[in-house]
Amino acid sequence: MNVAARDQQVSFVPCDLDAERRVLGILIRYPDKIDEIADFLDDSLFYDPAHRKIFRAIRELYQTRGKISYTQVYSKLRKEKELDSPDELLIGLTQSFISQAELRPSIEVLREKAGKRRILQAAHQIEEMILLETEESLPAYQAKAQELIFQAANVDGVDGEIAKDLLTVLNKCFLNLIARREGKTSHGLTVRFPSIDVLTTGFKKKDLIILAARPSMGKTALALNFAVNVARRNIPVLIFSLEMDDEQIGDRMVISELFRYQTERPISAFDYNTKLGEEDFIKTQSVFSELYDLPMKIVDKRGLSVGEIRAIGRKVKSEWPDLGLVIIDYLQLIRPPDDDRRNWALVVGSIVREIRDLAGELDLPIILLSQLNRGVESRENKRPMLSDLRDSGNIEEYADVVMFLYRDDYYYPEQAAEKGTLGQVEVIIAKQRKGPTGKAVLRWIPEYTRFIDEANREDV
Amino acid sequence: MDLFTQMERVKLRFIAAYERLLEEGQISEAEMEGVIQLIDQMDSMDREEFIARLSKLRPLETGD
Repeated sequence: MNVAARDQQVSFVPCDLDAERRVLGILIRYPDKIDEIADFLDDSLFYDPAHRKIFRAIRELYQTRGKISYTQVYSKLRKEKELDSPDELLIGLTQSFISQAELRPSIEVLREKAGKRRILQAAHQIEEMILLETEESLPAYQAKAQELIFQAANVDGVDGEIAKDLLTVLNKCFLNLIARREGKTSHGLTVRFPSIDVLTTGFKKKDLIILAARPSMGKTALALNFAVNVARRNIPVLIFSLEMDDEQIGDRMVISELFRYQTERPISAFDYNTKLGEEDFIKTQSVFSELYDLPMKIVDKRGLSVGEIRAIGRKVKSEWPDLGLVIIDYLQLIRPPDDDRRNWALVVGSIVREIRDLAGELDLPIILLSQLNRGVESRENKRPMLSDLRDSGNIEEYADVVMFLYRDDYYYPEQAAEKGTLGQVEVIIAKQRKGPTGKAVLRWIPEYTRFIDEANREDV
Repeated sequence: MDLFTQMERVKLRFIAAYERLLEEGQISEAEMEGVIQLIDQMDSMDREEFIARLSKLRPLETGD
């Protein structure tokens, strides 16, 4: 097929065959340019399969011989016997450009066209999926469609440099340092519990934080306390509650805030859940008014899969680009893929890994709550340890931070009363990739499902 | 068109002509490889060496 016929055939597809020829022509003439553009250009950017093959031949020749000529490219292509008339194609390349300065702009054109082709292909796949009815439910279609579009819009290695200069990396670090110094940003996302924040220096973007404990230790309550404290600074928060419904979450938040009236005439959860007097009602209304404005979204659907969590996370992130925190309550309630026949530990491990990847993709910390099994209770010292997570897949391997909650008074109420540790909760930072391990002590006020900072810190 | 481009086009045409001979069975694959090698290395040879090596190849028929 001659060049004109080839061009005519593809006129409705986003591509620029002249730009493809320019790039190939320049690379054969100036092969040392290949090193410069290796991070930006791969064969998927070429629409024409023949151009893709020529590019691969050029790259291989350069990598093995260090120099390229039209004759060598021709020789390689004829040996591979994949192109009909390599001589015609190569002769077409000799006059495809005027100057090597055209290389970068031409690659930009190729990237733009390839990006459009990927989106178009995703659209075709979505259309086909719907017409062939491949999924079971509307949410599954939505999740799959979002995944396809997201993949089409984010292609590693082509949309950015893989190997980054130290100078570029340090520049980013320095800008962050200046921003922190000027108080414009903190190192991580603080949760306004000073004894935890001082240990973590805030939860870092892209990190997966595991908050694990036996039931009734206050995991959900602490996570909701974190959420409100973060949202109060106008940082959007997304909560996935796979156990409690939205009203239970809302009520918990309100009750937790009613703690502020404890020193006056206290309003208890019981009062809130029965009938409030006029004065208490007015106070409670003011709590509602405060909470109304918080940037927070709650997803209270049971049996969500990681794919659905990912899809919702992406959707909320697209609506709220400054989404700062995601909380998932809790790991063991995430629905594994139906066709996964692996043992439970492996399934949990892959769920955790996918959630960590989601934290990276959304560029924010994700707090994943996890229940510990009864193994903890068979020991004399019932403080959770990292090894308690091992039976449930390699959770600790994927986590950047592992936090455990432990209440002495839960197991030994009489001893706790004697020692004065009633209501004390140890927040044990058992693993922290970017910081120390340690322990923060909070006070648990069960009637308000509220934690208070005691501002103590001990090393584990 | 600069000299480099002209030369590359001539080389490709020259090799393509030998490719036709190979298709017609007039030369062997080994001879074809020999032509490609020679053309690829011609820039590093002096005129005499090139002519000597070229003369060893089966000449193209002029068709007259």
